[in-house]
Amino acid sequence: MKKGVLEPLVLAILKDGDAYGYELSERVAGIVDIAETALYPVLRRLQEQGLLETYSVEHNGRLRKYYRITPRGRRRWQEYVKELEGLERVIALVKRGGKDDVGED
Amino acid sequence: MSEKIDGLMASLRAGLQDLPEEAVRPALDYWAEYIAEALEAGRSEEEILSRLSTEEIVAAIRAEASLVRAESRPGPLRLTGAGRSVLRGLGGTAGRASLLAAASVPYTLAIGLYLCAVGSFLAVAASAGLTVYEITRMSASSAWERIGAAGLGLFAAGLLGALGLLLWLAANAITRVTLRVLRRGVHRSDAKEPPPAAPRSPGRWKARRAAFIVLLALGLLGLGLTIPARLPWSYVSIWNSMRPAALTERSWSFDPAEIRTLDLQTLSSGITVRVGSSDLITLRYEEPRWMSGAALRRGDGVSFSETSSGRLPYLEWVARHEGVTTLVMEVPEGYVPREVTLRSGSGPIEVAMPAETIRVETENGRLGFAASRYAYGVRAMTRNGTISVSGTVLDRTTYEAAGGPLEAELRSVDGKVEIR
Repeated sequence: MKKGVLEPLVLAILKDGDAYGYELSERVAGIVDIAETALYPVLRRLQEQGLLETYSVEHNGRLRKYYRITPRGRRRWQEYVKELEGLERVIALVKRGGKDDVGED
Repeated sequence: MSEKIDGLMASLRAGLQDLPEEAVRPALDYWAEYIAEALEAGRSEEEILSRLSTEEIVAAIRAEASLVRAESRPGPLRLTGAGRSVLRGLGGTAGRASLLAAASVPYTLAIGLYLCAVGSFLAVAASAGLTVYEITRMSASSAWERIGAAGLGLFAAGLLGALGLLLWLAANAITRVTLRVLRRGVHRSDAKEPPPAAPRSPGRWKARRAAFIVLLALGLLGLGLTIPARLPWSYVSIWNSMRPAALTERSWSFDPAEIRTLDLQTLSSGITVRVGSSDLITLRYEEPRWMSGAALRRGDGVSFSETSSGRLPYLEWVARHEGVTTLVMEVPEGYVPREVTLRSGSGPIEVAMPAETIRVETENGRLGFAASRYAYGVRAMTRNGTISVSGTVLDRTTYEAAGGPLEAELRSVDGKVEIR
């Protein structure tokens, strides 16, 4: 379940500003309890799909790689948001024990 | 970096050594940067290393790299390494292994489609080669028919090429979807929606569509060239054993006193030999426009052979269907040649004459032999057909009957042998 939310989470974080790998990992870890090794494949996949791009900035004598969301990535994030909105009803229903009165409130 | 961190990086590199550099390099860079950032943030080396499992990192990178590589490969190559690499990345999880097992069904279908597509492409090459071969064999004066033959080759090549392209694209689509499902299963087995498709090159799609249209257009052009040359109609009429509208009657006659052997061969025309009322040996042949027949005198023998006139390509293949044109040979009463040989690819053969030795062979035509009228000893055999004697069908494929001084050997591969 947690792994499934990594992609939208990374897109959501980067939507508000670029971040480097460790910073992203720390921010994700602050939200979801997940192994530190789980993020790298997600970043690679998002890059392969053209949802993220990278650039490097010199920092303390070495290069720091920043991740930036692409326009395509923003569209994908919006799709995720719509999907999650649909899921909210399901989550509320599960919490209430199956009584389908969520929409009537 | 410390020895421990160097050790981790070395383990990572060792675990990924068989992956291409473009997959390994970014991974090693990422983890080197990650550790440097973590140290800079004040975390201790022990803490960092305790939370990084080499096996986990390697498995995740392998699974990701294999699928990315597989998706970027063209055609069936994407199938070959993907399954194996994914299995390695799965780490033996039963649920994920069952996902891979389920994926084997569309994989098998895709492989079948790829094979069919390759078959179609090979058939394109074969039809092109055959067309060139047939055209070079055709008579130079049959210009229209040669154009028609080229059209026929173009028609076959265009349609087969378009079919092959469609099959290939279908296999590609199945493979792509399967890989995407696998990818989702490996990384996010709980996700409801697959990740978005990798961006496709619009140029490639345009090229494929253009190739498909060009192939279809070539096929139609081929058809347009073939129809005026009347090739399709000729094939249909031969295949359906229809009597040709235009036949040229040809005849030859020979003095029986000078002729001791007779050798008649046809492709698909029937052969009838019988005793006639003339004092000469006569041959009458109905020549369709796509055949050519000639009787020649050789020493004390006569030979007749029917060949393609070079006006209709692929005739030998089509002419395997039983023809309706005939070659009729009549011999004088009392004439008994030393040796008679009758052969036809698919034409029916009817024999009612004496000969010291007569050999009759047909591939799939009917063979009728009037044995009782003359003192024949008969040996008959068939491979897939039937033998009947005086109207009774035998339940075996050979027959032998001793008789008088005349000898007959009758062979039919697929046709009926009727001995009367």
